[in-house]
Amino acid sequence: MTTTTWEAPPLAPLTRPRRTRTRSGVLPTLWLGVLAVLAFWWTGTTASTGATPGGALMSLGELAGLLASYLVCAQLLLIGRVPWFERGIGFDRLVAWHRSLGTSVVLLVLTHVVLMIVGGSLLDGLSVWSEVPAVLATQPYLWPAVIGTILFLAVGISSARLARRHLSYEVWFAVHLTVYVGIFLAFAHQVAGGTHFVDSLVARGLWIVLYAGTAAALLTWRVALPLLAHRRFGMRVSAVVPEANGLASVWVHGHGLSRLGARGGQFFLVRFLTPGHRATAHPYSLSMAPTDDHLRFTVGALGDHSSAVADLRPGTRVQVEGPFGTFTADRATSDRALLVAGGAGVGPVRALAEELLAQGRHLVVLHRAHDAASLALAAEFTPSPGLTYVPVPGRRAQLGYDPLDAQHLLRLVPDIASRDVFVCGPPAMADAVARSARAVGVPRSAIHREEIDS
Amino acid sequence: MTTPRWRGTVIYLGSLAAIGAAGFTKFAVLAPTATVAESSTDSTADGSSGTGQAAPSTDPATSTGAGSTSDAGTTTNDTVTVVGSSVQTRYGPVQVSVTFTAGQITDVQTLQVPGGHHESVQINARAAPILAQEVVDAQSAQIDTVSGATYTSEAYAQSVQSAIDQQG
Repeated sequence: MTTTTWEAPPLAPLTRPRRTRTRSGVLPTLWLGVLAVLAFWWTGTTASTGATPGGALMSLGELAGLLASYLVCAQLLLIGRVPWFERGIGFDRLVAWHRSLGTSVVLLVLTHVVLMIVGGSLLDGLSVWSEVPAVLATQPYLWPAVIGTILFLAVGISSARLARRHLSYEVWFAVHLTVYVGIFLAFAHQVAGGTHFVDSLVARGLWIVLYAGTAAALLTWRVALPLLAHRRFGMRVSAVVPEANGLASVWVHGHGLSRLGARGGQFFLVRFLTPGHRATAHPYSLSMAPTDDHLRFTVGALGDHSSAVADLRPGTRVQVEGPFGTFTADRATSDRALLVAGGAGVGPVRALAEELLAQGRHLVVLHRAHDAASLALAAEFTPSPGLTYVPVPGRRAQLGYDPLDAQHLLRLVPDIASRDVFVCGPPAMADAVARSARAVGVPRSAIHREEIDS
Repeated sequence: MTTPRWRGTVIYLGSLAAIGAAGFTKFAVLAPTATVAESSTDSTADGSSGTGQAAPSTDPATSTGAGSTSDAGTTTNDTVTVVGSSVQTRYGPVQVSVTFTAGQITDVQTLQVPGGHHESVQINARAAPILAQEVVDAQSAQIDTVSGATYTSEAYAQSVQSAIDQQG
């Protein structure tokens, strides 16, 4: 009531929490796909293929190639903003799986190449060095596949942890985009030259459906719908408000934003269409429950561009993808909650608190920061019967203890064991809080975390 | 969320293990019975000429040499049937016999085509008569490939050529 943006709890009747994040069938489905590929290879391979070592190696090389090819599609779908995946797994875990599978795919592609060359040279009775030009001359679409493989390697290497540290986001992203070309170039040699496809219309059809389906999903959810949303919502920066040390709030104005269906605690991939920002989409969390014409993101000085939001001019067009994330009020399992915010994590916690309060829950908000001057948005946590706000400033080294260890957490929030614990902040802090909460008896299912890292 | 550090590599190693296990089961455990089935189908394919062939499961060096050892053509008047060499493709061996009557190619019989897959049997059944007709029409191994059976076509031409070479 005291500020314009903070709505006091309307004391709505307590709604029973609806758990949307039930056990998702996404990952089991992906593994089933792997089994299907194995079965596909199995039925299309005669045991006599393995009668010669060369034949056996080539056949296994084909299996490696089939698995790599399938996992490429899986990988693309994981980051394809497919709603079923986003609801079931959540954007951040999807990205993590995409990264992991990326390593597997690049290694499988290399395995495929090595096995095909070595196996082929044994089968043709050629040296490894003369086998390569021989297959390049005879196998259909192998040259494009070679170029595709080189692009795969480039994407893999540029995404390795070591390389990422030295590459700017823009360079990495540009290299990453070429993977679509690589996938396209590598596709033809699979259906035109693969022993499992060359004489089976059904197999070719299925494989083309797999790739066409993946492409359709990407075009729908990564291109068409975001462009439509961009036109429909007409989002622009309406104000940039400096908050505490190193944090600033970006207010975005648009039309009919409630149709986004965004919840407090969720985030968008935000792209500001102005020089210096255009190439980069950043994951920004909402720092208040969205209204029909405004979104607010409170952004920390993390990453190469986040800190530059202070220079954004009002009127700058904004493109968003989302909402993403499962750090939302409907994960609460009881009518009382503890919210722990650290650094830029205060934004999502602020938005989440607003929704939890609106549901009539009782909240304690612990706000960690290096110093009192860094307690951004503190004034918005207006104390009320339903809300206790506890700022916890100070570095651990200065305090001489960790205020988030089990002992101190229990002292700050004696009834913690009966509360849901929502924690949002740097990964190390989120880990510490999760550990402490477990230690003082909070069940695993009541601990909800979101990491905000650079 | 940070990506677990070695998960990608672990998944890869798991895939390698799965590939290895699948290959071992397919090629080592199930191989003996399957080879018997394979050679029985080959003997029916060979039936048209009755000339003994090297089994397709022997290593490529002997199969390729098979043409020169089995070049003893069967002679009826001035009709000579010459068995071409067995040409290994990625999908299995291809071998033909070419019948010459008074120096002209009058017939080509398919002795071996890859028949590993259900569909390939159909494709090769379709391709073989077309290829034979092409050879008879061209009186040489300079033939067009049949679409959908590129490998068979190329190997077919090679086997025909080897038969022509033997005939002189």
